[in-house]
Amino acid sequence: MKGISKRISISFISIIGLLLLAGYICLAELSGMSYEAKGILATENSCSRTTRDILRLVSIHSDITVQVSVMKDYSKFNMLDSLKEQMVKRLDEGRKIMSNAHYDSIRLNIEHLNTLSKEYVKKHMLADSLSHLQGAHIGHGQSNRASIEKRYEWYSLTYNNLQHRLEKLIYDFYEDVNKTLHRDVSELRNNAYRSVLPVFITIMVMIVLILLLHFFIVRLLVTPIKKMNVALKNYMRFSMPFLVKIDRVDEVAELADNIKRVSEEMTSYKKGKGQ
Amino acid sequence: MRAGVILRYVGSVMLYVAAFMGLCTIVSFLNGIDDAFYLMLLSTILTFALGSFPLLFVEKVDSISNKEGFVIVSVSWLVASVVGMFPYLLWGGELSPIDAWFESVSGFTATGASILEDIEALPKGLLFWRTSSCWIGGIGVVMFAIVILPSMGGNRMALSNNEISSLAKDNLRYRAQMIVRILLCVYLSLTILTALLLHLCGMSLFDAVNHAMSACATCGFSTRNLSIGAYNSPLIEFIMMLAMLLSSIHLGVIYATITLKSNNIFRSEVCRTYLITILAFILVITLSLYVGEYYPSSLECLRKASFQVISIISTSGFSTADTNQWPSLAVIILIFCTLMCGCAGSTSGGMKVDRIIVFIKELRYRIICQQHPTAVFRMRLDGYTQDESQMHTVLVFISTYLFTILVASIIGAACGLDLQTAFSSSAACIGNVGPGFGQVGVATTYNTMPVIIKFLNTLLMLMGRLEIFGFIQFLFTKWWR
Repeated sequence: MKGISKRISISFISIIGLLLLAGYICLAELSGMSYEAKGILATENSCSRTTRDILRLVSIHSDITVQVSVMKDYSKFNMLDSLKEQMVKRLDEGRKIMSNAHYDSIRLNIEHLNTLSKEYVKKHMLADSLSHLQGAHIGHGQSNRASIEKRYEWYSLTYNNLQHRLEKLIYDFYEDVNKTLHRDVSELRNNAYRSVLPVFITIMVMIVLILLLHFFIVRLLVTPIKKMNVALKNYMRFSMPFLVKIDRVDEVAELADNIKRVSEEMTSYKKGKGQ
Repeated sequence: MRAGVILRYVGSVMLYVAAFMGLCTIVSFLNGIDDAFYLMLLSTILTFALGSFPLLFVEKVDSISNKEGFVIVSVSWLVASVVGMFPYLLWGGELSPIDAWFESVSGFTATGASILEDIEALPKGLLFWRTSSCWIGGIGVVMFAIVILPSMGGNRMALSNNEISSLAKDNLRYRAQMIVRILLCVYLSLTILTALLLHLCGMSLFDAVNHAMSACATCGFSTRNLSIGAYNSPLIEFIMMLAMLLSSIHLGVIYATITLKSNNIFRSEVCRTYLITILAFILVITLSLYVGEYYPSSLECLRKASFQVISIISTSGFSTADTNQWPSLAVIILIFCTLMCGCAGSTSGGMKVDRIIVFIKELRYRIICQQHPTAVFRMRLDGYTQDESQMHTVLVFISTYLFTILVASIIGAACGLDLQTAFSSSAACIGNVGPGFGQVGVATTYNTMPVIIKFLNTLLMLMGRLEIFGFIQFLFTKWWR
């Protein structure tokens, strides 16, 4: 490589190139981290909404079941199926963040809960219609109270147990997803330095290159100029020959050669004049 | 000493390292742009930038002094180890900066000690870089630079003098240029042949190439967590044993054997001693394993004993069995193998068989001198007369070697390690063997070592690779004047 200016230009271009590379890496790593963080937040939101919605629907199903089975408000019987459909729909929407085991078990329990309510209500609807047709009036008040107590017992023991099991499954799903997210967040936090490390290493290499550049500039420019300075001073004061020799082919070597030629011509001119 | 000249040649070596990093980038690319692609690409760019900078500013010189040659070799090892850290640092994972330094130094010094608990979790590009670093280190970073870079011209002599030990040069009656070419040809041929044979025996191409490179460098880096034991194949083990054995013999002697010259394996006193020692150790360990009923059959005992003895004595460090569970006799023999190691002029580290032979002959000479004070003896090794200064150097080397192990063991014990771990890890690192015993056995890694011990072990690895004196000289300021 000949010419100091060319070498220094290439060096500066490489250093700037490395700086741009460091910047690009920084941006790429940060956008990667941001994408990962967004994913974690989206999953957390989806999980919370799914859990909240299904639990709300389960609660409504429970209220309707009380009204239909205990209070004998059979007009709301069809709402049971529509609530079940809504729960299943909501569950399907949250399928992406759910494991197969969670999905299957929650779905199964929703179906079971709905079937249990419907079958119980159907059985009592039939019984009520039959007794109405037979015209049973004697001891109507006492048997009504006993029937309500019996139905409420069914609701608080059988239905509630299943309802609580379903709610537990939903909470288990919520906790599992959160555990996974906590792990992902910890990993993201622990690996945060990885986004900085490539930039850091690139900058360290850049610093080394800058130090090398400084070393070589001093070696190629400053030191020869100092030598030439001293030699010129000696020439001017003591008429010593200019003996700086630079074994390179570049601007500084050319300068040294030119100064040497000028000094030799000056010397020969002085000698001629002296004669 | 001209700093610019030193930087130029170190830069050349960096370019060579960058070329291998580029190769690893290609491996990553061919593997479907795996996780190692961008980090290998960045490491290549950075190493290339560091290597090419001095070449921009420093002109080629006609000659370099011996001191400059020495500094070039030593600084090349250090700088190669530093840039070798880049891929590990960028990968992160379980690798802290000291772990990355440890893994890099272990590769370039062809030690093969690792801190990685799950090697198979690494992407292929990074695995290939691990193996490449030890392959480069096996023949010496500078050797390649000497042969490949024509601009070095007449400076090859000064550089090769500092890279090849004097004992190695004795067996080669060629000029330095020829020596370097021969060593490199044998090294390359052995690697290619081993890779082909391993692939034919059922290893995947990637694994075959990696294991061949590691075996010929007598390093021990495997692509599997269980090392060669993962394959459970006698044929693969046999090929690996052959490769490790040949790599631990003077490469010039192998060349002479192939080209039917007189100074071949069978006529070389050093090789004969080495092979007979290996045979004796295998027999003793086989017997101890058989008597202790460690394996179901005598053949199995022989198979395990052979592999482990050859692996340790060649300073490779591959494993097919957990030697920590072996009887004490076997363990002590393997520790001796860790100290003795291969022949000079090979890729193995350690004290070298040549020095042990010189030591024994010197001991015999001293005993005879006690009886016949005026007797005059000439010590010969493989037909070459060893003068007083060479014998003296060997004795000082052995003493310094053992003293260094002792000091390192004391420091290890002071840091809380048990005696077996402290001693075996020091001996394994300075001998560039890799696995030791105790907490650093073949079935474990150096991951659990304290940070200061990891750093100390890296210094020991560098000392072993630079044949101790090369490293110690750096510590003397008078030498720099």
